[in-house]
Amino acid sequence: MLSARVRKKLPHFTLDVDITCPAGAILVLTGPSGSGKTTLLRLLAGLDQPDEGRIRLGGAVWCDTSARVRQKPRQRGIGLVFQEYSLFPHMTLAQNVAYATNDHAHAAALLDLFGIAHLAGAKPGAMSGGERQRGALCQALARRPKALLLDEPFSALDAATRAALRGELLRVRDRFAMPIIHVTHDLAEAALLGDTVLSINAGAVDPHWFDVQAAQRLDEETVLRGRLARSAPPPGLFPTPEGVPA
Amino acid sequence: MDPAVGFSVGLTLRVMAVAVPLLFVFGVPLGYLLGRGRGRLVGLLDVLVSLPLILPPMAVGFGLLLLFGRQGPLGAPLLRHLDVEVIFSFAGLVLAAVTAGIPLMVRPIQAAVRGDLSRLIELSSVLGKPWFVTFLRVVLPHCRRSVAAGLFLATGRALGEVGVSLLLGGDIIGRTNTVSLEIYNAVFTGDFPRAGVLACLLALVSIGLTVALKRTGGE
Repeated sequence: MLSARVRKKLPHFTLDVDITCPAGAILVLTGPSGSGKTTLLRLLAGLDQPDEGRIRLGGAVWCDTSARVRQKPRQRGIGLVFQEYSLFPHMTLAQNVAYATNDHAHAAALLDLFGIAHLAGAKPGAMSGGERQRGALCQALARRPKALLLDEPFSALDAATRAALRGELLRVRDRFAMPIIHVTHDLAEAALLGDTVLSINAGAVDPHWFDVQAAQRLDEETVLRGRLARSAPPPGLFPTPEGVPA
Repeated sequence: MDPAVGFSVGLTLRVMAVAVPLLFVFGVPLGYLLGRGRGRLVGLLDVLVSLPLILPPMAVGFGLLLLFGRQGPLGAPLLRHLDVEVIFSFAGLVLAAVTAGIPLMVRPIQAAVRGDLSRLIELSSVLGKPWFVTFLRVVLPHCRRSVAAGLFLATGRALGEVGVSLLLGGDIIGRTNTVSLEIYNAVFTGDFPRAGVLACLLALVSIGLTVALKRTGGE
């Protein structure tokens, strides 16, 4: 179980949240831009420090401001995937994964698991966005992390690739049984992936934000569907992308 | 080859053989610190490193002469404890070359370590690597073009250095007269052919460095 109760003063508001995520579950953090989601993820990773608070994974205390415990990111044993720059551009995919672990068999097994073993010798610049993010997941999982933190890892991908990677993330959840914290703007992605969905708005948990946004989007879609029905577009003009849930 | 010209060329090569590795050793961490560091101390260091670009070389040379002279705050302890005399010696020429080249070595690296690199450094840290592994395996390879560009620029600048070398080295014939100082001497004594040959030699090296710089992709 990953648990965090943190408080950090930011330029426009104070981030003040209390979260828990059990092993084998995905906690989705969603909310408007600049609401503090990524900052929370950075606090969990140890890339930023809270003004006050305590972060624990099971019995291990990663940070406790009252006891002056502040573990460095490298001591926390986490996997982290950013939206971009999640692989080292000067290394091949195999070197990227090997950078995280000395267990070459494990690294090779991960590349196989994500279906990108044939790209082992390729550099990130020569890979597609989806391949890069699969590679980033391999790298993050290579050191057998105790928790996985994902900062909008699929947001720069096309709809079909995003849908495929969501499926792979669910497989990761079931196979590796660790807490996974996933930050996304995408409401559908939040609903599909999250065992728990937590909306953060202006630094605090907002229990209504997700429902309001979802209702608004449904309204918009209803209007669009009505408009399309009236204008009767030629068949095939708006194909549904493969793998994207309706 | 005229023995005086041969000596100047040999001396310049020896100075550069020491100065270029020093530019690398000091320039890369300094560029990293100035690019990523925060605070007044870093700001002050940035200004100090830029001074040789802004100030007239004679003024920089004079400042270093005061610092590293026999009675200077740095020169006196160096002489007393390490028996190293900087002024009018080979060490003075190396110091002049490094001083002239360091701003140009540092700037490209300073620019390269900002931006995207922050994420890669964080990623390396999260992957469990200590800072020196991150520096060697992530920062240096990521900045290799900038390091190469910095080295080419700094070497070119150091090769042509006259003002600081004149004050720290003294332009003593047969001892501290590097190629650029020898051009000055040759012109001063009316030996234009010798000045021409040496100037062409420096120009050729500079063109070579410029071509190398273009090939690294640096600007």
